[in-house]
Amino acid sequence: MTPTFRMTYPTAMVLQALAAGHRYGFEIADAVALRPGSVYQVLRRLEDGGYATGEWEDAERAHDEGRPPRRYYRLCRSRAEPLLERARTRFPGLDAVPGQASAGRDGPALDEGSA
Amino acid sequence: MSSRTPPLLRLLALLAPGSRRAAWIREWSGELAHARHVGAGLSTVYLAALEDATGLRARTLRHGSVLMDVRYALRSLLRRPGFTAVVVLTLGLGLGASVALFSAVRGIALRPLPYDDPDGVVMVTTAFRGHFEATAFPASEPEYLELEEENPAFEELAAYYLGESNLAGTGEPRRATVVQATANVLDVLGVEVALGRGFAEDEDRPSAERAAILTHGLWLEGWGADPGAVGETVRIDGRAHTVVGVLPPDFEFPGGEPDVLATLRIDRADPGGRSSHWLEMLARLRDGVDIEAARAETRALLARWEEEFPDRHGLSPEGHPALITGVREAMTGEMEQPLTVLAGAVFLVLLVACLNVANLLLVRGEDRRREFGVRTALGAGRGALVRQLLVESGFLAVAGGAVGLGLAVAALRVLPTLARGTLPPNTVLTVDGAVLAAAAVLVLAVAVVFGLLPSWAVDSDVAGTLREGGRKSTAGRSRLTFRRALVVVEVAAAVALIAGAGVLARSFGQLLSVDPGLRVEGVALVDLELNPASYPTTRDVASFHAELKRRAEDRPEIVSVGAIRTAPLGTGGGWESVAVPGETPLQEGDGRNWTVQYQVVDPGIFEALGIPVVSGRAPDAGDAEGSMPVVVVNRSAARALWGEKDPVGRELQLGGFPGNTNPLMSVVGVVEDVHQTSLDREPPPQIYVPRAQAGANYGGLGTRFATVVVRTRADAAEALTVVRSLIRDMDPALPVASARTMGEQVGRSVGDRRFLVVLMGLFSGAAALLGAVGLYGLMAYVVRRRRHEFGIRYALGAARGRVVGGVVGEAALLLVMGSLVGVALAWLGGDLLDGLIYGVTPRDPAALLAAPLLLTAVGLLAAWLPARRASAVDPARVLREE
Repeated sequence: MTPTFRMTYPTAMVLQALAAGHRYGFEIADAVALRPGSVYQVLRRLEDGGYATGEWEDAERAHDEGRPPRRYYRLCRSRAEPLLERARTRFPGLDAVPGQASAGRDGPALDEGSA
Repeated sequence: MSSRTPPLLRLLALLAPGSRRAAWIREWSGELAHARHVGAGLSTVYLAALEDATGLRARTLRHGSVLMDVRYALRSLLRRPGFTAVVVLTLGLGLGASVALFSAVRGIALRPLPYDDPDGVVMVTTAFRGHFEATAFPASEPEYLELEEENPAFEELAAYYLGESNLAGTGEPRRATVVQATANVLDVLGVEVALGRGFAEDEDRPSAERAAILTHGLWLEGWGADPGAVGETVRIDGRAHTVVGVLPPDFEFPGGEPDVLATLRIDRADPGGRSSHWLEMLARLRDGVDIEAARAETRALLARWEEEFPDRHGLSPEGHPALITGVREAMTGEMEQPLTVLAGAVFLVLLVACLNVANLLLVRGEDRRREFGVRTALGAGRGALVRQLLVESGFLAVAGGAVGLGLAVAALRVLPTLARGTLPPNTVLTVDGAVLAAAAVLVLAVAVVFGLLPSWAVDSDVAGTLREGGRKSTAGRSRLTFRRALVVVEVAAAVALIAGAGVLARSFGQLLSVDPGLRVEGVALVDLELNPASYPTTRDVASFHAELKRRAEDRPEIVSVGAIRTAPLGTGGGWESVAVPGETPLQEGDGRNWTVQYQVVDPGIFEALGIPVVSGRAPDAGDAEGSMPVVVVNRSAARALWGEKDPVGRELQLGGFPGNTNPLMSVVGVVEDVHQTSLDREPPPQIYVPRAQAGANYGGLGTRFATVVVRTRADAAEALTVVRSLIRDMDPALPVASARTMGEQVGRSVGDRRFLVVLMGLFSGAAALLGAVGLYGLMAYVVRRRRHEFGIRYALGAARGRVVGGVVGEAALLLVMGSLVGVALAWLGGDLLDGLIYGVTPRDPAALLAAPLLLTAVGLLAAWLPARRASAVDPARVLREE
């Protein structure tokens, strides 16, 4: 039996942010007003628990911008859905997390600086 | 495009777990580059990276290796309770002995002394060349004064006399140990009083008021720590002393354990006799002068005196030198050799314990080869397995250390009681911070060494291990040889220790068989000092003793009563120079011994002590004040002073210097020698002067204090009760001290030897037991290993007895090899025991023979038990398992 995932406030916020489409650690931190370090703690737990996966952004795009690729995170919907439910039940104000105004599901993150 | 990892990030990456490090660097390089790209602050990124790395590391620890190792180790050890218990107890024994010894060495030899700059404080004694006592002779008043005035090496020189006196003014009159000292004694030691003041500069002149300084203990006992004690009057032997101060609680006196310090009056204008040696001395060395320099300067000074005053009886470099000893060595020097011997014993016990544990762990390592093989096959690295073993040995070492610490604390609590009279005064034996730190270091060393040892069992040939079922291998045979070697070393160490203990035990036996020269059973002793206030003259004192004798001998159970200044085998004893008229008085270099123990006695003493009179007669009631002065000498004195000539009828004078006013005494009898100081020292020359006449010698030296000796037909302890009640009837205010039987007196005189023998016996017993356990373990392993072979041999018709005999024979071979090495070790180390033994040599053949025989017997018994199992092997079963 899978051990119960501890549902803390930062965990709930990060889950909601991921569900809203935010992908990069610092972006999530901005959206939920948490310290980046705390956000990454949660992301690691979610990743180790199989609730989220980390992927590298498109290498070409990064190369074009003259920088190494970043890692972004996505929820594994099927596994994460019950967790998200728990989070929303526990912390009803979660829906207030602003979504990521991005176009496609598989697309890379939006340009930085956009709202 | 640059892909170099920033140095700070590389540093932070070290915090991340190794397995995730590469990905981690990649991820955070990306974030850093992005932040730089958008102009965001890098510090935020670095802080987040730091938090992420440490978080990942913490998660690894929580779920990962070390905790798992700890849980696994605990389970593993608890699954084998017998093994764990034996290892922990064995380690506990070795570690406990080591901790106790370290504590003892610290408490006895290394503790800080409560003096200002103790290295600058020395004891100064004299000696007489050719005198059998060799050292630690007191000085006379003129000798002290001359040294004090002229020795350039001494900043201050104090003189003192330590003795028992009657003390009144603190409630019940009681006996107290009093140090009479010159006024500068506390300056020499560098000690400040805790209350009041020290002695003033001229307070030791004859004209000054007598002053006393209380020790803390006496102040608590007699005054309940009342500061008002300062200024009060106490009477020491009837003489009034004003209390001027109280010493601090940690005060120690180098020469003994006084209750009170009192001023010692020396008349500098008219000091006592040159040859009346009674003052001990303490000096503080001048700044910049060390002991060697002080010794050289003193020698030079005495040489100058010898040249300037050839006829003066005084200190001289050869015949009557002044000896300087550091105060620490003087206080603890006697313990140095016994401590060294005990340290050697403890080392051997620890060695045997550690070898035992090593053997046990190697066996366990062997047994777990299959387990390690499986784990290696499943991906565990050698490092992980070694870490596991270190954790296990850490547990064992800590548990063993805890047991050892408990044993040490218990032993240290009991030791001072057992060693009463042997340990220097004020010795505190405790497990303090330094001892705990040393114990921790020892435990750590044990944990690491024993943790690494079984890793030998972790084979690199995994497949081979699994195939063989972990049973046998070439490497396994070499491990067995190593284990046999460990057992041989164990046996050697145990044999060496048992041999040493045997020598000490035989020596003790020899000592106890020495005829002290007196009667021991049915003799009781009490100490009395008749103070001048109630007994002003020597005649009064002599009358008291005569009356006590009369009353006591009226009792049917009492055979005889007498009194003597210093009873045999006690402490103290006054040495005096003597002159034989017509012969050369005391001069160094003429080879003859002119110093004797001066005894003051009452009639009946020789009968009471059971000392035979060999010629002439003993003193009797007719030897009163005013009649012809007589003296009795012992055989040693007769030989020393007159050679083979019969001394009866010859004359003798106390004091060997010109202008001596002591009376000429006629020798009326010769008595047999007694062991006056201790059983292992030659009987000294002694002269016995009747108390009634002794008042004329040096104004009554030695006439007040006496040990009353009572010989009884009944129990000596009961006689003590009788004598005490008689004394109480005669003078209720007279304190009676140190009531004991002669048996107890003899026992106390050998107490330190007995103590050492008991300790060595315990250690050698422990080593023998551990050695036997080690041998048992090895043979049990051998039998298990060869079960298969035994089964086949039985199946082929071999006699069980021969097989068992072979196993026992293997054990016997190891015992013989170990014994040979052990005897060689004992032979080589024999000199360590020199000075501690009596009547045997350090390489006593009986002890050297008995030790290996004893251990062989114990070892064969230990080997027999597993050997029997060899005879129980069922060949059918073994062949089925094939």
